Amino acid sequence: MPSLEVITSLVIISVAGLIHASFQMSVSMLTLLSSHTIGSKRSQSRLVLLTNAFVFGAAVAIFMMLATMALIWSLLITVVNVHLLWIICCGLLLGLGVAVWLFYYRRQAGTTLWIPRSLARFLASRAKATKQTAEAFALGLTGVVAEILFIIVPVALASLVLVQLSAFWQAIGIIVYLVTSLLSLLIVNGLIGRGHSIGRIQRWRENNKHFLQFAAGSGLVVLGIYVYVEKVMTIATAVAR
Amino acid sequence: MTEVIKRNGSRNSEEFSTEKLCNSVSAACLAARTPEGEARQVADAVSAFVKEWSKDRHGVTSDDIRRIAHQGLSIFSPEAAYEYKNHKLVL
Repeated sequence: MPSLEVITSLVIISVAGLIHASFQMSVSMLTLLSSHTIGSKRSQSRLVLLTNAFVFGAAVAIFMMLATMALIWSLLITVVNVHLLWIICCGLLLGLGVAVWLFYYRRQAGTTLWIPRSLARFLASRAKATKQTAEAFALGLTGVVAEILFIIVPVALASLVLVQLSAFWQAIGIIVYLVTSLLSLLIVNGLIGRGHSIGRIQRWRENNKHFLQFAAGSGLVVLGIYVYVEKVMTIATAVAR
Repeated sequence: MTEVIKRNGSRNSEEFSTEKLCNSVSAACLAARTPEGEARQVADAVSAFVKEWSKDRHGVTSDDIRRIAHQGLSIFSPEAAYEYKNHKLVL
């Protein structure tokens, strides 16, 4: 039976994963990849292979990012007070939350993001050119790396929580983060696999983009405040007593 | 002969090609999960619509062609028309 501390840690990890899932670049790339694959008359089984490879690539990239951040934290934790690391994480969560409220989507039709246009054009052309599963896998990796400015904060928080758990709960925590952070990709992948129209998926995303933006920003701010109260204020108060 | 002036004039103008238009409209229809035969028929009809519109014009821009093709496609398949209009605004 997990202790209350472990449950709290897993809740923080899953909320961080859900915030990660609300960032939309990988989903945009998946819809572009699917749209071009269907448009060039490739078979449904080929489409499913490509989209599965894309999602697997994204999963590997997230896992590697999580492991790298965990390594950095575990090295830092030996030389820096852990409360300082929590405070850094909280600051990043609050800062990114406000930035997402203000800047995530561009003020124009569609679901264009605040990324350099040259990078967006490059990613779109790569999605169009992708024909092999290995290319789709690499595209999945690239999609996660291209979104690093936004996702690094939830990944950093989840990995800071993970390094303080036992090995067994670390493994569970990694699975929880991977599943929750991939939720949006898994849902869109399932819809495409079942034969849903890409236009309908894209239209839903466009109609709800401001809600997703608000939810992601609010999630980051609320999580930042919660972590500050739970990990910094509570312990600081206990020490003062 | 209708000349197509490319977006922001960065490339040379070229002759209007119904085949290129057919392919892009057909791809949008397929992405909206329209069956292949129907997609081809719709693409032919939209191309004819754009060709009729452009026949008295000496030069048109690629944006004009997209706008008129979108109008034509909206009649047959609003879903495909949305896909056709917005595919460059995804990322």
